[in-house]
Amino acid sequence: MSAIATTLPLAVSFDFLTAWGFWIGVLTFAAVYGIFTLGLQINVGYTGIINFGQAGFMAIGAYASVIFTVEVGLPMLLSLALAILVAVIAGLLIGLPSLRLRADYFAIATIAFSEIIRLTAQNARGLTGGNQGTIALELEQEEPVFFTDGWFEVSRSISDNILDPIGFTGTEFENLPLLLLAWILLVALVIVLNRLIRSPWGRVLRAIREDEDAARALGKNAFGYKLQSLSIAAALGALSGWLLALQLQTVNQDAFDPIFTFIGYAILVLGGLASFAGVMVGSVVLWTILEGMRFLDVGLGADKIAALRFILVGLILILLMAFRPQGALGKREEMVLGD
Amino acid sequence: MTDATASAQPDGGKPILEIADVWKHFGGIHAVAGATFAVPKGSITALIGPNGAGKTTLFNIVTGFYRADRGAIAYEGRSIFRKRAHAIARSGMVRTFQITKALEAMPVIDNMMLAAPHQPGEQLPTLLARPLAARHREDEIHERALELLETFDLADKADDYAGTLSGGQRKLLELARALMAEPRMVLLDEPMAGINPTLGRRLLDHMHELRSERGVTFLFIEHDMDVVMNHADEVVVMAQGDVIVKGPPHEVREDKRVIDAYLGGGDGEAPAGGASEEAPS
Repeated sequence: MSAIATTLPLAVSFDFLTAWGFWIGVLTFAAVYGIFTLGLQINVGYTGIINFGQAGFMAIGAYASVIFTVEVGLPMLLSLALAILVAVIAGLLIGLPSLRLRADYFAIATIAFSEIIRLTAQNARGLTGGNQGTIALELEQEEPVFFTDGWFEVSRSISDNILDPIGFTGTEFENLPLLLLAWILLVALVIVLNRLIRSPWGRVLRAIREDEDAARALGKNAFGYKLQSLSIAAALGALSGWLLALQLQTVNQDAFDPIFTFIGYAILVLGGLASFAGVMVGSVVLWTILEGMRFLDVGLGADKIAALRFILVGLILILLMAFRPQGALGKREEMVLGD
Repeated sequence: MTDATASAQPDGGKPILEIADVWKHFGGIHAVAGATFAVPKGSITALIGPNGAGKTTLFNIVTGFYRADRGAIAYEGRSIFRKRAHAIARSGMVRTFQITKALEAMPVIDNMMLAAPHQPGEQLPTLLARPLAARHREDEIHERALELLETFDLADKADDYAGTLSGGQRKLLELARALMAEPRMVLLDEPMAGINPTLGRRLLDHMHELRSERGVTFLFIEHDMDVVMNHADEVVVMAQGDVIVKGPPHEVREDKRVIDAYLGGGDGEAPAGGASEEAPS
């Protein structure tokens, strides 16, 4: 205690806030986990199904795109498309037997699913590289193939032709193209999902969120819609997994710990339920805090700082629940967790 | 069956709904035990009986929310036994619930528009392939919804969240919403429970109007005997999972079995309205 008390007021430097590299990293994470959380939003905020397995879909997207690229040798976009397809199939497989369960039991089933995916990835070394990550797969090819090769080519061309001429030159900005890609995808998805949710199709989803039996009594196949909602979340999870793989440049199972699903939930709460735009706000706020805390020199070890980050996030969530339960952009009237 | 069709019906007593020997048990209890009756097309039929008689369970079976153990149910001559709830609703038979299910976090107008049939925009493939068809249908639905809300005096609430409505208004909304689905038969589970007499009367007026103007058939569960006696053409009395008496109201009210099981007190719950004390008119 005394050690903390004496060192705490010292040397809290905010220099990192002016570094380009910091913000490029934070905003890329924010977009990747924003896309990830859009899937949770459509499930939790609009359909009323509690999906605790989003990290599992992200894992499938990341691993499958690496495997299709490196081991099968398919081009980047085809690998991505197939990876999304695999995740959607996984979504159907988990949804078909368990979406008829009550919401809380479904939540348990999905967290189990996500852990099955992660533990399989950890142990199926031949397929995924195990604990070493996919770098092991890349290196064991006769002529090493790197998952990121395809993207780096595109990225360099964006840098050379667009970013360099307007002054974003140098290694500081080498990850800027990925940030742009992720944000273009995120914003486009928010626009598309907003239109979908305001369509008659979205109206059925919201009705199911309110009362599944009422929707069924009015001729809506609630189960079918819940499957569609979960499939869309799976596809968004897979897309975010592909982006994460590009950002981290190697895929390791510890990136798909269930804690990341709950980071998604924290983004949901911060940004507000039943708002896709809120997801963008929530994600930027959360990742700024999570990454910013790394640079705070308060005289603690890195492990303690890591723990402190989550304490702070928890504190913010509690305060938010007390003073602004609808989050940044959520509608108070549409809160599912309200009563 | 003979006494069920005895009174005058607009459509010559042809049944729209036929329920035959339906059984359903929960654990060791037979909630529905061989219930058999028919609902004449175009009629207003009341389903009465003491609490625990199996009325709501039977509703849930007929509308596909529960699976019966055995039996047969036909709607408009086609079997709907063990069909799924949404499929039954789409075939033109819509229900309301004992505890109203207003979709509270949705505006009243969305509650209404949700119920409309034939909206291609409710399916993702057709929504994406034919967005204009969806929009066109949406305009039609919107107009129809406003009309109905007008009829039910809810037009000024169209943009309010359904959660802000009073209990009685929710009952009206639920009926209006059921009508958006263009049903040929409506099942109402205790429509009069918990609403004030004025709104209740309006609800009953709507029921008669819809029956005479559009030939909609009604089957409703009700405990208020005044309502049952004055508004139903047919009464079906259930006790302990089975139908004990069926017929026109004046006959049913005189029946000794009904008086013993329901109207006359015994240890069953006393029906509201005290119709049994009234002199037959």
